[in-house]
Order: sequence, then structure tokens, then C-alpha cells
Amino acid sequence: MREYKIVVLGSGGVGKSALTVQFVQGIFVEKYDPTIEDSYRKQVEVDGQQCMLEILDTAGTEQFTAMRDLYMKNGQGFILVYSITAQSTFNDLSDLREQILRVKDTDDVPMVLVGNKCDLEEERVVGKEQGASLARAFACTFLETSAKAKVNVNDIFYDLVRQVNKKSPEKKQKQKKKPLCVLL
Amino acid sequence: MILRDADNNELRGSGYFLPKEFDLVAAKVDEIDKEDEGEAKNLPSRTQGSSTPRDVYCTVTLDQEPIYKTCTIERTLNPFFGEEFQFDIPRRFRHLAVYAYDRDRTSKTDRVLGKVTIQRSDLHRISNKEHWFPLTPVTQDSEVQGKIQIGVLSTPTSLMVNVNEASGLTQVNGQCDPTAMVTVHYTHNKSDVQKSKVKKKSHSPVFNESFMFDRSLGDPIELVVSLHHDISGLNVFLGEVHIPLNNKETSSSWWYYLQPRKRLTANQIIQDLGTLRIRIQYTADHILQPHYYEDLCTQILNSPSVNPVTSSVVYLLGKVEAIQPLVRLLCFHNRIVPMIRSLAELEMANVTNTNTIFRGNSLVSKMMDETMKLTGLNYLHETLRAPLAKIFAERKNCEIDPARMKDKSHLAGHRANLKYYIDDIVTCITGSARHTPPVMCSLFHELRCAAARGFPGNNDVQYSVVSGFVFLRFFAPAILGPRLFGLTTQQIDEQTSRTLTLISKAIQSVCNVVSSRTAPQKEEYMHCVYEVPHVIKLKQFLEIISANPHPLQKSLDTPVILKESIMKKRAQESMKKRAQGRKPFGRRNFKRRYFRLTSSSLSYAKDKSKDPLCVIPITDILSVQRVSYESFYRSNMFQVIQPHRILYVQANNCVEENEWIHILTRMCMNQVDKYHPCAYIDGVWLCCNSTDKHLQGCTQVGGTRDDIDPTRELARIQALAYTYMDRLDNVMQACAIQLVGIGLT
Repeated sequence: MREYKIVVLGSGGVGKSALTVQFVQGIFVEKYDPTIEDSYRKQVEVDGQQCMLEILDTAGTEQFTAMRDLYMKNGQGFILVYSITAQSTFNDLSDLREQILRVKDTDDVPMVLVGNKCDLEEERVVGKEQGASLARAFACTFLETSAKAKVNVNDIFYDLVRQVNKKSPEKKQKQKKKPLCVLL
Repeated sequence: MILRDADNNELRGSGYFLPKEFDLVAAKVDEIDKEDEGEAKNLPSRTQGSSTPRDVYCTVTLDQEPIYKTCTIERTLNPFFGEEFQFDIPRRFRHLAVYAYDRDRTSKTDRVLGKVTIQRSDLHRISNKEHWFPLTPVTQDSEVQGKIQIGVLSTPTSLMVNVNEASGLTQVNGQCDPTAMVTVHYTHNKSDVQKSKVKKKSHSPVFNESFMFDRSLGDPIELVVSLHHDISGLNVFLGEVHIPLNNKETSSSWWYYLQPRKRLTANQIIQDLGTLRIRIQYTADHILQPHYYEDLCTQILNSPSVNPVTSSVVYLLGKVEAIQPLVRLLCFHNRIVPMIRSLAELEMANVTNTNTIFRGNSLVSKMMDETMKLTGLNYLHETLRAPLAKIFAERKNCEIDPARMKDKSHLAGHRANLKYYIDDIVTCITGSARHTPPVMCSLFHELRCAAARGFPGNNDVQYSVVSGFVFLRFFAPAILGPRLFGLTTQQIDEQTSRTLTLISKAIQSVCNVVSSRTAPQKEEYMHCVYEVPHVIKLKQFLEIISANPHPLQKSLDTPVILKESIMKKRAQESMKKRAQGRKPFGRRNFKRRYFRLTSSSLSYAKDKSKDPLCVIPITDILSVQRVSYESFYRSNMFQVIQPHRILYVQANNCVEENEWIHILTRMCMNQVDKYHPCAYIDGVWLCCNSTDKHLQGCTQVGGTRDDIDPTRELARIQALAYTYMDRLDNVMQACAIQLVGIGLT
């Protein structure tokens, strides 16, 4: 089974853990407990293929930025999360993306831009169009999600898996061992 | 307005530059990228298999002087360092370089893989951005530093070359006996070579020699002066200069930078040695006389009482990344607490959801972070040093995630190990309440009060605002990455690193329980480490450090370690035993000792674990001064002047020397007016030629530098405001539009 290393990044309090836990365990964590570094594993089926997702939920607090480089080096796909209720969390993402591209030393990195908390429409400050245009600049997928209302949560992870597949198709799959003899 | 004034002052005052210039480099050495086989094959002296991994480390150097060393990353061709160094540069330099080495476990001589050299003039250009730099080869001929002063006097019949002096030459194993070789190339491929005398033991030799070259051999085309270190037949190249001679009549003496050897670099095969990802932050502060900054300073210090705070200068300057100098300046003038209170109230007033308060990167969170780093680093070290040292020494496996374990039967044992460490750290942190720096306590108190005022019905916020700083932004990151906080210099292996991550997570989750009163919900395997007694202890700790007045706060009764390192000291000669520490011939010998400065004394021992050989109370340190190179033919020397004797110490490099002199001077407050800049050698003070050993010093001591130089901080703020003037203009325009809008309604 192919393994996918996925890293969830974004500022503090945007709902990275809520999205991850909703996807992995199917529950909504209402508390805003700061994360240091959590990791989860989940097996899913994407386009008929069994995949093992290794998801790293990271700290949004600035003091942990030194660790980010290491996550970026090891990660294959990245989920960049902001909250549609806080403009600054949206503004922080450009630097984050730039850092990923530098660490990876390439322009083509599987990535999804996510505007979380879309259930809080009355508190919205970042317009959907703003998110979409940033995604165009990033040349990546864009989705607005709600971990609370379970909107688009699975889709971001599935999309990322497809992007990783597209960028680096698994070669070994084709040369699967042929059975030497068949006993009937 | 004020900023503009300051700018004009700068333009007008350009002739008033004080001879005060500081360079600050924060170099972040990150990663060498070496693409596997293909690259290693190209390495010249590699004899083993092509894809053999290496043990790689890097050093950061100023010219050729090593300043910092990273830890060694073993068995890899793609090492990841992720280390950060920040230092003040105490002297002039030509380039900053990062050398990559392959450690050889058997022969103990490490092989250099290559280097990245950045000229001082290029530092500004690449500052603050991350780049991949290709490694360039390192050979004896490429390692050149220093400069030489040469004059050429041309007459119709002859050519006279004056080699006056050189300075800052490369030292070979700490030695330098330079000699100059003067070559003149004529037309028709003829040349003539003359050699100077050898200057013993000097990296800044004064030659003052003239060499006559006859014009009868042809027209001179080029003059080449090269320097060599000549010792027992071994000839080491130290650098050269090429000066074209286009029949200039005369030229006065000029200084030339010594260059790497030309003929070798010309036919060098370009090899791919890999690349290094580095981020350098370089600031050179040009500081005017203090009165030019008076306006700016007054405005900054008045900011806490400006209403609304959004119109204060500090709030505006927060938009131009001037947080660090602002915090240092406000701390220096004791205005940091009211400033943060004012800004925190603003931020709380705009909060819609109490859960996300101070979670993002706001002005308050950045200022709090800087303040804690500035005032709380010693406290952090005192609190975490012992428990971390234990973890590094014992290296018990603490993995409790079943998905990461091969043999799940060890789970109970690992869980016990982890609990034991968590217990230890919780005890150390909660026991440290009485040592929490007063500034931090006052800040926590203000935040807690502001939370109580802002959210009267919600007690939990009072805890979460304090723990959001003291744990989430202080203790937890320090436990997770102790190297970044200077808590250790040793390399941390993967297992220990995982242990630290688990402890950091566990402590944070206990804090989360304190402020939300419900059990953790996230990763299942972590639920078991959470214990009710810890919650109670941490809750009390948060209450104590945020209470006013602090119930346990006392003056420091136990000394705090301020600085430590291994340096060389000259063997001490007591008043009677003159023979001690004296070699049969020549200079007194030097020994490596572990030095430790605490808030009460300076001491040294054979090594860290041994009892000190000598303890000097702070009150006995009269002054700390540099020692000239000529005294011992050693660089980076300083002297600790005591009532009856002088301790001579050699630091490992100029940065370390500067830091030690700086901190010692601050501690001792300079109690003498005069000192000897040289040592008393063979019955004479080398500086003033006096033979009386007990004679008062001959040189006036210079002014002392405080830990924070307010003028320097102001200069940096002003420079940043100038750089980001467009942002400030945007803010002003936005304000103007708003004012017009209000006026119309």
C-alpha cells in the first residue's frame, strides 16, 4: 500500500486540528487546544486504490517555525489552512508557500489551499473570491471547508492524494510480481 | 511626521557619523543538498564506493576564523541542520563563509567538502532571503585573507617596489611567519623574483623593504607580490596581489586585498560539490549622535499613554518589523509593561471568539515573545537545564504511539519512562515560580487582569492568556528544540528528539486542561499521560506568576549561571612561585579550562563536571579589558583584573571574546580608571616599558557598553521605518480616507 505524507500548515486557531480530527476520527473537536505536533494514520480508498495517509498536524504558533523546515522536507503534500474570519491568517500563507517551494527547490509541490470555518458566514472577512484568486496565484486547488458542519473535509485530503499521484505516479505497481505457477 | 524629521536629520547629518558601526548576523544554516551517486563520484579524493554516506557538519566563519559549528549529521548525503546562530560582529571582515566538512571517525582529521563564501558587500543583497548556494572547492590556495600595502615608484631606468606592511594574514596552526615574494613580469616572457626577510610570529608583519628592478630586461608588464608562510622548508601560500604596470610614473602606497592564487583557479575543473541552503540576516547599524533620535524616542516612550493606541508610534512601527528593537528600547526605559497592556486591551476588544485570543501572530504576541526571550532566557536555562541534562544522559525510550512501535510489549515501560520525565519537568517548572523574572510576572498579571475585565463571566480565559505565553511560547518550544534556546550544544539523536516532542506535547496538553477543564480529545495514545495532580500544580503556578504582588518573588538567593564555555587560560603565577607555568624557553603555557560565570562569581575548572580550581567573586573583578596580540602572540585574549593579580584568558574566536568582555564588564561595573593593554613579560610591561610590576595601568579604560544600547536600537527602528516607508504611507493614506469619511457624515 502506498503511503502519503501529508502536512497541515497554517496560523494558530484556524482549525487545522479540527479538520484533521474530523477527517481521521469523524468527530468535531470544539476546543481550541493549541497543538505542538500531532500525527495520525488513516487508510482510505481513492480512485479504487488503497492509500495509507500519514497526516502531520502542526503548531500554528510562530515559536515553532524552526520545526517547519523539517516537516516541509519530509512532507509530500501540503494543506495550507486559513480562517475565513481572520484576515491575518490568510495573509500569512504566502510566506508559508514560499518556504515550502524553497525547501523543496521546485515550483511543483502538491498543495491545497483551504478556507476553514465557512459555517461562520456572518463573521466572514475573507471573501471566497479572495481565496480563489490566491489559489490561482499558487496554482493549486482551493476549497472552503467547515470542520464543524463537515463540509468538504474529505475532499481536501482526496484531492491532495490525487495531486501526489499525478506528480509522482507509482512505478512499482506495474511491475508486480507475476505468480510463477498457478495451482488449480 | 517624526519619521520624516529623523530622515532629514540623517541626510543633513551624514557628516556626523560616529565611528560606531555594528554588524549583526543571524545566519541560519539549514541544509546541504547533495544528490546521491552522481555527485559523490565527482569528488576528487574519494576512494571508496560512490554513494557512501558521510557524516557532515558545517562551520560558520568570519574570514577564516570559525565562530560556530553545527552538530554532525551522520550517514547522509542530504543532511538537514536547521540551526540558527546570531551574533554581533566585533571587527571588520571581508567575508562570511560556511564550510562543510565530512567527519572522519578513524583518522580524526575531518575532510573539507567545500565552502560558501559571501563577500561583506553582498550580504545586504542576499539578507533575509533563503538561497541555495553551490559549494565551492577549498584548497590551500583558496584560503586567503588579509591585505598588503605596496607602493610602486617608476623611473626611466628602474622600478622600485616598496612592500610596507600586511595585516590580518591567515594563520597556519596558529602560527604565521610571513615572507613576501616580489615578482616582476617583463615583456618577452621574462621575469625577475626577489624575496623579503622572514618576519617571525606576526600575522600583521611590517616589512618596510624596497626592491629594485632593472628595466634592462624589458618593459615591466605586471607586478605580483605573494606572501608565504615559511617554516622549516614548508612553504604555505598566504595570498597574492597582481598589479598591472602600465608605465605609470609613480604611485603612492595603496592597500590591496590579498587574493587566492590565480593560476590554479584558472584551470580548475568545475565540480559539482552540492549545494547549501542558507538564510542570512545581516544588519549594519549606522548610528548618529543620540540627539538626532530624541523626537523618535519621546514618541515611542509616550506610546503607552496615547489614546487610541492605534495612533501611537509603536503601533505604526509594529507594521515595519521593528518589534525587536522596540522591545529592547521599551525594556531599557521600563515602559514595556504599560505598552503591552495598552496593546493587549485593544486586541481583546476586537476579539469575537475567546478561544482564539492571542493564538495568531499579532503585535502583542510578537512583543511578548521578544520580551520573554530578552528577560527570561537565564530563567529558562536555570529551570530546564537539569531535567534536560538528565534526559540527554539517560536516553530512555519513551515512545508510546503504538503505530511507531515494532514491539508493543514495551508500551508500559515506555509510558512509565515518559511519566517519570514529565513529572520531573513539571516539578522543575512549578518550583521555579519564585525565580520568574519580575517583568514577565508583571506582564502576565496585566494580561490576566485585562482578560478578567474583558470577559467577566469567563474564568478560563485568565488562565489561557497566561499559559498561551509562558507555556505555548516559552517552555514548550524550548523543550521541543533546546538547541535553538541555547539549552544544549550537543547533538540530539532521533529517539531523544521524539522524547522531547512527547514531553512538550504532554505539558501543553496539561495546560490545555487547566484552561478548558475537559480532558484532551485528540490523539488517543496521549490520553494516558495526563494526570490530575499536574493540572493542579500548573494551575497554581500560573496563578503565582500572574499575581501582583508576586507572593514568592525574592531577590536572587541562588546564583544564576550567566555564561559558560571552554577557553584557554594562562597558567597563573602567584606572587612567589614565579617558575610555575613557565616553559623551559619562551612564553608561559596555556591550559584549557571550563569557565563559568554566575551572578555571583567567575570560576574555572578542569572540566564541567569537576570542582572549580579557582573562584573569583564578582566583587573582586575590577575591570575586564582586551590584551594586545603582542603580549603572548595570541589573538582573542582578554584580562580579568583583580586586586592582586590578573587572569589572562584566550577565547576561541572574536565573537566569543566580545561576548565575554561584554558580560563581565556589565557585571563588574569597571572599578579602575587605568589598565595595561599588554602583559608583564620577562620583567617589563610591554605596553609602557615599565619594570614595576605593581605599577598602575598606563592606558585609560574606555567607556562601557550596556547590554542594551538605546541609541543603537533607535537607529535600527529608524532604518526599518525608512526601508518600509511605503507601508507607513499606505497606513497614512488609509487614515486620511477614514478621516474624510467621518468628516462627511
